[in-house]
Amino acid sequence: MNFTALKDELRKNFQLCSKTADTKSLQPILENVIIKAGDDNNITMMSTNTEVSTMITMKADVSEQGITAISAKIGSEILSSISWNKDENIEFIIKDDTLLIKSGDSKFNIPVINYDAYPEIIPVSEGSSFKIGFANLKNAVRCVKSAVSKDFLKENLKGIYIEMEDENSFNFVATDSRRLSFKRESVKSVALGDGKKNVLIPGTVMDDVAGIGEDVEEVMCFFDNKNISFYLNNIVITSSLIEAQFPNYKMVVPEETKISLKLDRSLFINSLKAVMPVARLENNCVEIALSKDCMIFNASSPDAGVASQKMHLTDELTGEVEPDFRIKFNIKYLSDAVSSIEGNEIEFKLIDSVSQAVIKEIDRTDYFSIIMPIKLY
Amino acid sequence: MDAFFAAVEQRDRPELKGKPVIVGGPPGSRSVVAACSYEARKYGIHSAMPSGYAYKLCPKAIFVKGNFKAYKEANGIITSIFHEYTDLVEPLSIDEAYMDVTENIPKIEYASVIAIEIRKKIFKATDLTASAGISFNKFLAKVASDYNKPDGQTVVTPENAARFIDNLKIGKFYGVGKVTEKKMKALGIMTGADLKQFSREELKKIFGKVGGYYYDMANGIDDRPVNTNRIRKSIGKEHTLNEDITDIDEMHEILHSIALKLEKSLNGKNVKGLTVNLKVKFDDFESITRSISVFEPVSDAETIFEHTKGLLSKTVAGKRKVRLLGISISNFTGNVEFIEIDEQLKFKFQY
Repeated sequence: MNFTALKDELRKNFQLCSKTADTKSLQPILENVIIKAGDDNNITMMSTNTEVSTMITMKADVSEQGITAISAKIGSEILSSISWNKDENIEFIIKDDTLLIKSGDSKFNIPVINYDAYPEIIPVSEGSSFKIGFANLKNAVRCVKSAVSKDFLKENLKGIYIEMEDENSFNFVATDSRRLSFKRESVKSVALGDGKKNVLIPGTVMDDVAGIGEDVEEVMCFFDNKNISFYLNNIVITSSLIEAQFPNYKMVVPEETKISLKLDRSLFINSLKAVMPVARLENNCVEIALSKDCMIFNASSPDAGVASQKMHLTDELTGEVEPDFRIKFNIKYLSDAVSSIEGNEIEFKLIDSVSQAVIKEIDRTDYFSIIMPIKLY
Repeated sequence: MDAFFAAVEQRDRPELKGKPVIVGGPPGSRSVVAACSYEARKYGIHSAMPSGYAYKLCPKAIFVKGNFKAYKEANGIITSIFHEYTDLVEPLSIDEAYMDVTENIPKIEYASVIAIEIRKKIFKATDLTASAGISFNKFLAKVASDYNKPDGQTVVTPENAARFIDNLKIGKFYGVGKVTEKKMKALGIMTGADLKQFSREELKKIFGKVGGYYYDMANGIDDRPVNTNRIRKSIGKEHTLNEDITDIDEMHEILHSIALKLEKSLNGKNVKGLTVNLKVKFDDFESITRSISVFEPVSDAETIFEHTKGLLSKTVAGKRKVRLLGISISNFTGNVEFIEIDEQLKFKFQY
């Protein structure tokens, strides 16, 4: 194998590819990135942790075809350590049992690793598919990712659920059973095969895909019953789908609420910020008291005392509030929910102090967040 | 942390080094030992023992009042060291915490290496020693942390877990207090190996629902996650008055009835706390809190009431109209693990 490529580009791609190399695997071969120099003046880098894999193709000047494995960790360190100038080239040459990496005045001789045991990576390239603008996908992930469960035991809540019931737009949903976020985003085209209309994709994968980007405009996705592949320009990310069942989330979306408040987003965020330092000390608890025209945020901690912030509503609240009505939330859930909203007019809907609350933008249905309160005692 | 309160005292007052030190009220009082140094332990003194009795065991023991501020400060330093490794830290008390280092920030492969590093860092930053237990679940990690104290650590791997549990004295098991221990011993259960002879059903029949836990522990099964939100840090009760009041006696009456309710709640959860907090909300909705830290964990209504009365006198209640009074207890000691968990409500999903 012998090829020359732009060092900066190679370094960037290698580091991206390294992300899915498995540094903790029982199979040491998975700690590597595979580099394949083809006959069409392209090189392909691949890595997999058996759940998720990355495949990146880039231009190179290939003078001898071949394939090699290189430790993701060592490779990344080498590539970021050599002094680099944007337009400089890097050369990969295999001679006997050594991989020689040369760039400028730097030279590395690395013993060749046997890659025979490396699993084959086969991206999904047929069957059901859809195409979505990268900005749309990124926005959907941004809106729902905080609600993805971090509890590794909750298999079915560790993902972002994509509901494809409409051919113009998809619903992206995530919940950790304490809160739920929903975002609808338009899609460019949909072609569904044998009736499968919904997929559950690991949240971490969606986050990685959404984080790629710079010059990606659209994402093509192919999926079957087991895997999904995201095609972003020269990058293909393939992930296993979560096979566990996502809960019937619609049943926790309240049809009717008793109290509706209209708020100014920036005021709300500032109010949360004001009580946040104290709330953080006491399990992130913030208590909200309501009156006709204002909301009072209280946080207290035995160590730091009491923080209290009053906020006026944009409009008088609608519905009946009992005198001394209080409801308690995890302040982080509230701030995550509002930070996904773009406009400045928020609607906050409540039922009572032990039922779910809804946060959304006024007059919009494409995004909402549902949050369960903390029990008052 | 090893003999935490006493170790801090010995560090800050070098004349106490190498001597039996007891943190708690003096022997003449009705106090108990809050903590004692390893030198004092040699005389059979342990925490929660009445001070008078401790004095009998070791008349030359030095009784000190303790300095909560110094303990809190050390706790702050230790906690920030934990967070250099993971954010999954579940504090159990002021000097003890669970950490899940499966995924850790510096990406260290072996938990035992992390434990060594943390203990070194703690010593460097606070001049105090700590011990660690390393295992694949919380129960084993906790027991292991007591195994090689002070200044040591113990690893329980899946391979040696069975032997470790077999040799474990029954009193060391999760949730086995003095009463249960007696009952177990009456049944001939002295060690983990003895406990293992019983089926889940048998244990449930004898001990009720908690029997299932004992079965799991005996078999090394514990899948409780390390959860930063798990532990309730305080238990409180409050009362909103029908009308705003200024009469101090009336406030005392209300505080007394709140203290009674609180006692019930604390006893129900089998916890005691080292800090009593008073909350007062005035007629203009301004609230204030006042707190006092004590060295004997409290849970009884009368003691709580006495402390709150003192706290109330330091406020402007009476000069200003009061609309709400509340008391809470924090800084728990004792059976912290049985504190009601996760007050965060959840969706009731159907599938």
